[in-house]
Amino acid sequence: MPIRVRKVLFVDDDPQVIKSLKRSMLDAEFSTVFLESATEALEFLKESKVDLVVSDMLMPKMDGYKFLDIVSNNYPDIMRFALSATTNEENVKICLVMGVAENFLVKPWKEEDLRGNIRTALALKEDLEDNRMADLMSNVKRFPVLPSTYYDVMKAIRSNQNAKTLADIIEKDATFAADVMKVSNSAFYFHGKETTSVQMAIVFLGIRTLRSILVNISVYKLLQMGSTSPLEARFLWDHSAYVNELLFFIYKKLTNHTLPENYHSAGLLHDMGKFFLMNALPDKYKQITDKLKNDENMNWVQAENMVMDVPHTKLGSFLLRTWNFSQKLQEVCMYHHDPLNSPVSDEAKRVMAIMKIADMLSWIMLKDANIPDVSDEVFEYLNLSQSDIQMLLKDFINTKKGGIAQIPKIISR
Amino acid sequence: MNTKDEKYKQEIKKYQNKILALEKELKKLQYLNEDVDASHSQILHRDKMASIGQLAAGIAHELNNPVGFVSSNFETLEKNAKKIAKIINNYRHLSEFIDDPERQKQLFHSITEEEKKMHLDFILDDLDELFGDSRKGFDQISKIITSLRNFSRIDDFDEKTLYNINDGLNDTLVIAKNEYKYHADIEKDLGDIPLIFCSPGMLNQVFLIIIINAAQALSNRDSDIRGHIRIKTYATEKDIVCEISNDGPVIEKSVMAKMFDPFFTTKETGKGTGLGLSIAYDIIVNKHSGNIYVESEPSKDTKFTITLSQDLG
Repeated sequence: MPIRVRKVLFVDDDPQVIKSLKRSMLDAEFSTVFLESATEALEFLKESKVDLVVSDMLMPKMDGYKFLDIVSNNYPDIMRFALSATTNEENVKICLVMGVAENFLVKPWKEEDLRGNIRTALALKEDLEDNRMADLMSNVKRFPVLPSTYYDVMKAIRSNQNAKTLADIIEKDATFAADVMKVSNSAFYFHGKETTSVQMAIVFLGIRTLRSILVNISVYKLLQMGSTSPLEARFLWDHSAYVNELLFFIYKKLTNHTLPENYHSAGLLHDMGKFFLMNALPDKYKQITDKLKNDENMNWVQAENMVMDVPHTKLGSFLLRTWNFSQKLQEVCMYHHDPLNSPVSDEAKRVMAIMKIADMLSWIMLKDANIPDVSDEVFEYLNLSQSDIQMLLKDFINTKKGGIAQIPKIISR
Repeated sequence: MNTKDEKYKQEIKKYQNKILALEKELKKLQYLNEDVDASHSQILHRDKMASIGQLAAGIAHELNNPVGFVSSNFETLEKNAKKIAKIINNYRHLSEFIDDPERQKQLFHSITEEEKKMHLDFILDDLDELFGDSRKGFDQISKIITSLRNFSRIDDFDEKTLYNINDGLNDTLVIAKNEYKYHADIEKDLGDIPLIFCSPGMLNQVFLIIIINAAQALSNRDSDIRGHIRIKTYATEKDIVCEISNDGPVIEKSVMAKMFDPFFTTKETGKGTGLGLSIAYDIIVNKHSGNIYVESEPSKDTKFTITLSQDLG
């Protein structure tokens, strides 16, 4: 099957930047277009099919923020990168939180880094453009809609409101507030202090993580309102929270560094596809869980393959894209089951490999059956042995201060 | 007699004590005055550093663009050099088959194919431009850094020297570029003016304060029209004059009356200290015996005029 040549559009008001990009992309494996203003770019998009735009942020007349926002609304299929000379960390965060850009790259840039990010985005897009998914989506009667509290908070973040105002909005909904507190008090944030108010939680978590928590809680609430078993939804929410904690914990143990901020909510969101199934395609979800109940040695991926031809990973990635989450998180959703053979950066591979371990440990803590397989390849990649895993789990449980009654037995592989 | 003497002595003693007390008071006042002077110049210095700090993000932004394209060009050049070397080697290789014209022809053909594949024609045609563009980038970078160095001159902030204020205006425009370039165009009319004896660091601070205020006035408008900042210098018989004007909104009368007062600001909380124009006033009027005033009327530019005497010192 011939693969369509992908097209990338670069927009920057500095002609020298455009020229240098043109030169460096001369031998690129995708086709390229270069324009010097957002208005020209919008004209071009009316006529031509583009897969990805890479835009400067500060430009005269129409800036990149507005431009990418229009692209996001009018051409949701097009991936959006910012390539900016800004030195203001806040700009980057706001841009990613609001989903204006899915990926934020800074000037000066490295050619290989820029190309690598583009390559991954195009591969991700290729994976998302799946006819079978379109078929599956046509069966969905009710696409998950996030509750109004979520949008109120987003609006407040956009207009640069402070933590106090955000906290006020969240506190209007008691269950929302309780769950935000719960997540922020998890051991993984290592602030050494208990969070005692939503406002404090927001300050500690940062708005990016806050947003992920809100989405997660929102989805969970949707499920509880729906007809599916609320217990199962709670179970999956607990799993997501555990994986997030474990990911922080193991990453720190293995690398001696804190998990990069891009991935702070990777654990919370990695199984978004399963939430979606539960919510929007309950029949399929039931078929899969029935299979799992009947055979405790079967794992989710095996059961899922028997029931449907689009995996939950793809559904999750699709959802995160629809909700304007960053490319890095879309990658996590899409590739977390087989990170080492994915078209992603080395950093993403490492995070997702660790996440496989976190995923396994979380299921071990929650129950005994249907534990997913972690391949030897992943153990080798992380330079880990079975006994290391035992130690990690023990250490993790020790940080929980009696939060878990007993140490679950490790299933020998 | 004795008692009279005694009385006089006592009187003298009393006055002496009074004088001593007064001298003490005077000393105290002198000390206090020195303190005020010191803290005053500290405030000036602090405001200058704060304004440079505020500009830092903008300056870094201005630098990142040229650094970005120069480093990208450099990477391209690295890649292209390898490609060119490879083709040269291939041509050298041809000479080995000098006795086999058929094979040579074949090889020649494949080299031409490879050249096409690596866009060699474009690479060679573009070579001069690539170097030229990168040189422009380096010039852009050094211009910003030179201006920043001239502008800051922190060590001789108070020192007076012979200086052409046109240089100061040019440097200030370079380092403040990121603050105005998205909202305003600059129109410069810098005349032939004599050097004057002044403190360049201080005058640059005044120019910066006025130019940034103008940029902010123009950016606050809700229109897509670009504004203008006009800068003019000229010499009169005894003075030099610098006019900095903008076509932004008119300044209200009530604001005009207070705008040179310390801590007066119309900016949002946190956006301005309210010290800028009072510092500008102090530098021009008190430190340089010059004059600064503002005019703002409907359908006319808002104009700051600074006059400085040619024979300062």
